[in-house]
Amino acid sequence: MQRNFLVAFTFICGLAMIASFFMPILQGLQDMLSKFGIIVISFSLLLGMGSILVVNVQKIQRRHADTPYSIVLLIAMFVMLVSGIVFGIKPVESRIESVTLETLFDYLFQTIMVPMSSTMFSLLAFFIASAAYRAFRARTPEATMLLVAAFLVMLGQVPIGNFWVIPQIKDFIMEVINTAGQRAIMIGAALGLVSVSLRILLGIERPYEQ
Amino acid sequence: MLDKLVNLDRRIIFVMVALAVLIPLLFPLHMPIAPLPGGPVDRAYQYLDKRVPEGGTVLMSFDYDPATFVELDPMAVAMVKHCFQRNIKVVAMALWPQGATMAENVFKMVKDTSKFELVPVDRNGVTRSVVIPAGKTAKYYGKDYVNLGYKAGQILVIQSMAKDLQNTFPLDSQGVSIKQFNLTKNIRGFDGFDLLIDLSAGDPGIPIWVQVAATQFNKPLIGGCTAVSAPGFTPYLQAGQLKGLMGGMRGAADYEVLLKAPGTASRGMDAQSIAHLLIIFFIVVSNIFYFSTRRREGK
Amino acid sequence: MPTPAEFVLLWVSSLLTLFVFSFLYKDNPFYKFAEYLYVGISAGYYVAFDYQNNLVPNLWVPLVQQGKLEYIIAFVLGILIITRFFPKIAHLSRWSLSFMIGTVTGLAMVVVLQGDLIMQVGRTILPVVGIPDDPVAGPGWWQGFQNLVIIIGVCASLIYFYFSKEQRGFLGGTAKLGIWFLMISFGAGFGFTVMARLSLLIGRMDHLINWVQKTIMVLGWG
Repeated sequence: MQRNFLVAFTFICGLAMIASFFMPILQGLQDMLSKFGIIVISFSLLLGMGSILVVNVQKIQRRHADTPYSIVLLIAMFVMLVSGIVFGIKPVESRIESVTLETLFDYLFQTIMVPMSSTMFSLLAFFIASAAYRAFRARTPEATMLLVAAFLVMLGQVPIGNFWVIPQIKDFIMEVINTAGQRAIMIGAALGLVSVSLRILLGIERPYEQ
Repeated sequence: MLDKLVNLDRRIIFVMVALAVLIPLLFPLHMPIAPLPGGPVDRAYQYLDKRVPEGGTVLMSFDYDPATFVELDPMAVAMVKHCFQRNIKVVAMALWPQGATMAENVFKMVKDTSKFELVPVDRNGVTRSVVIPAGKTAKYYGKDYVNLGYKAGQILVIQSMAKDLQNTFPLDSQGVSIKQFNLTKNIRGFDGFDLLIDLSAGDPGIPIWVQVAATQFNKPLIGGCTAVSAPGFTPYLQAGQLKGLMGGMRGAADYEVLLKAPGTASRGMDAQSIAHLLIIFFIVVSNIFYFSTRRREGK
Repeated sequence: MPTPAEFVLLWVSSLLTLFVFSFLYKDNPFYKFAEYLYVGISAGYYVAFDYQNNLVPNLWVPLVQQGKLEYIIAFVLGILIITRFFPKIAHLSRWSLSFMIGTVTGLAMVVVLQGDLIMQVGRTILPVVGIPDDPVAGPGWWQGFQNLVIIIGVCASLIYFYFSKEQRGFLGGTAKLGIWFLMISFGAGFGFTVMARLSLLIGRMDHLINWVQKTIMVLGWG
C-alpha cells in the first residue's frame, strides 16, 4: 500500500515539474518545489557525516587496527564542525597574523583540505605515466588511431608543439572529429536519461526503495 | 636487457615524471604561448571584452574544489581581473561546497597580483575602512563584487535563481542580507546579468548551466573547465550554447596571454611541455619494446 | 617574509603533501594518517558549510523569521531523511527520497531533452555549400568540409550504437566509420586527461618549491 502511495507521490512531483514548463500558472509550484528540494538535499548531507561517524565509532569499539586513525578522523571532524557552526566560516585576510577561533575554520581549510585534495589527485599523474609505459599498446588499427590522436592533441596543447601545423591539426581534431563523436555520445545519453526518467516516474523502477 | 626494460620498476618512472616537472619549474624555458585566433579561449575573451558593456554585471559560478584549483583558479583570476579592468561587476556563487571558499581565494589573489585593492565588509555588511595603496584602484564589496556563497540543490538552484535570486540566495557567504548591497538588491534573476560564467570541475557544472541557463533562458554562457572534461563540451561550443570555452591549464594560460597578465598558468606551461614529451616518449618506447619482444617470440 | 603563523601553516601543509606522496613508495602510517585526517576535515567542512549557507538562510530564516509556514513541509521531509539511521523507522525516509527523485527527474528530463537532444540534433543540420568566407573561420569551402565531417561523424557514431539490426553491409561499414570517429574522440580525451593530471602535479611541485624557498629565506640562508 505504501509502495503505491510512494509511486504516486514521485509521479505527482515529477509531473508538477514537467507541467510547469507548459503551464505558466504552475511556475509558482515549480519554484516552491525547487526550494524545498534544496532544503531536503541539505539534510541528506548530514547522512554522509552520520555514516562516517557510525563506521569509525564501531572501529574504535572493536579495537580495529585502524583505531588511532579513526580517533584522528573524529577529532578533525569535530573541530571543523564546531569551528564552522559556532564561530563561523569567515575567510582569512591576505596576511595571516594569528590564528583565532573565528578564522580557525578557514585556516584548517587552507592548510589541510586545499593541499591534500590536490595532492591526492596529483598522484594520478604518476600512475598515468606508469600506465602509459606498461599498458598502452597499439595492438589494433583502432588503438593506433587512438594513440596517434592522443599524441597530436598532447603536442598541440603545449607551447613546445607550436610548430608546423600541429596546433591547427589539434584544433581540427577537437572542434570537428571530437565534436562529432562526443555529440553522438551526448544524444545517446540524453535518450537513455529520458527513458530512465520515464521508468522512474511511472514506477517501473523505484530507486527510493533501496 | 629488453625484459628488464619492459618490466621497469614503476618507481623509476615516478622519479622521471617528478624530474620532468621539477626541472622546468626551477629553470624556466620561457616558451612562447600563442592562443589560437578564433579558438575557444579567444572567443571567450572577445565576448567578455566586446559584448559585455562597461558597468555591466557578470555571474560567476565556482563549481570546483581544491583538487582542481591549479587549473581553474588561474582562469578565474584572469576573468575577474578582466571584469574589473572594464568596470564590470562580479557576482560569485557556488554549487559545490568548497566553491564559495575558492571564490574568496580568487578575490584575494586578484588583490595580491593586480592594481585592484578589494575592500571587504564586516559581519554587518558595513564597508571596512582600508587605506588604498598608491597606484591601486579600490573595488568595494557590495558595489563591485559580492560572494553569494554555496547552495545545495544543483539543477534546482539554477532553476530557482533564474527567476528569483533574492529568495534563492537571501544571504551572502558571510550571512549578510543581499538586499543591503547596491549590486544585488535589485537583481531579480538572470535578467540582471549580462553574462554567466561557469568554472566547473565535474557535476554539477557546465552541462546543467547549458541545459537550464543557456538553452531554457537563452543567457550567454562562457565555460571554464578542467582539461579532463573539455573534450566533452565541444558540442556545446559548436552549437553556440557556449560562447567560449577554456579547458585546463592551457586554456587559463591562453586567457592570461590575451589579457597580457601572465600568472601561474603561464608559468606552468614549460613543465607541462616537458612532461607531455616524456609521456609520448614512454608510449613510443614501450610499444617499440613490445613489438620487439613479440617478434623475438615469433621467431 | 611570511609571518610566524603563515610559516607554521606552510610547513604543516607541505608535510601533509609529502605524507600523501609517500604512498608512491608504498602504503605507510604517514599516508594513512593524512588520509584519515583529510576525510575528517572534509566531512566537518561540508556539514558546517551546509548549515551556514543552506539550512540557516533557506529554512530557518523563511520559516522562523519570516513566518512562511509552508516551509514546515520541507523541514518534515528533511527530518524524514535522517530516519535512515534508525532501522525501525527507516522506511519513512523513502518519502523524502521519493520527493527528491521525482522533482529532479521531472526537471532533468525536460532540460536534457531541450539542451542535449533537440539542440544538439538541430545544430548538426549544418550548411555544406554556399558558405561565405570568414576572416577567422576560413574560406567557405573549408567551413563546408568541416560541417560535412561533423554530419557524417555524428550519423556514423550514432549508427554504431544501433544494435537492433545486425551490423552488416552498408550499416556495418558506417558503424566501422563511427568507431574511428569515437576512437579519435577517446584519444583526444586521453590527451586532455594526461594534461589535467600533470597540471595538478605541477601545482603541488610549485607549492613544495615555494616551501623550500620560504624556509631558506626565514633561516637566512639565501
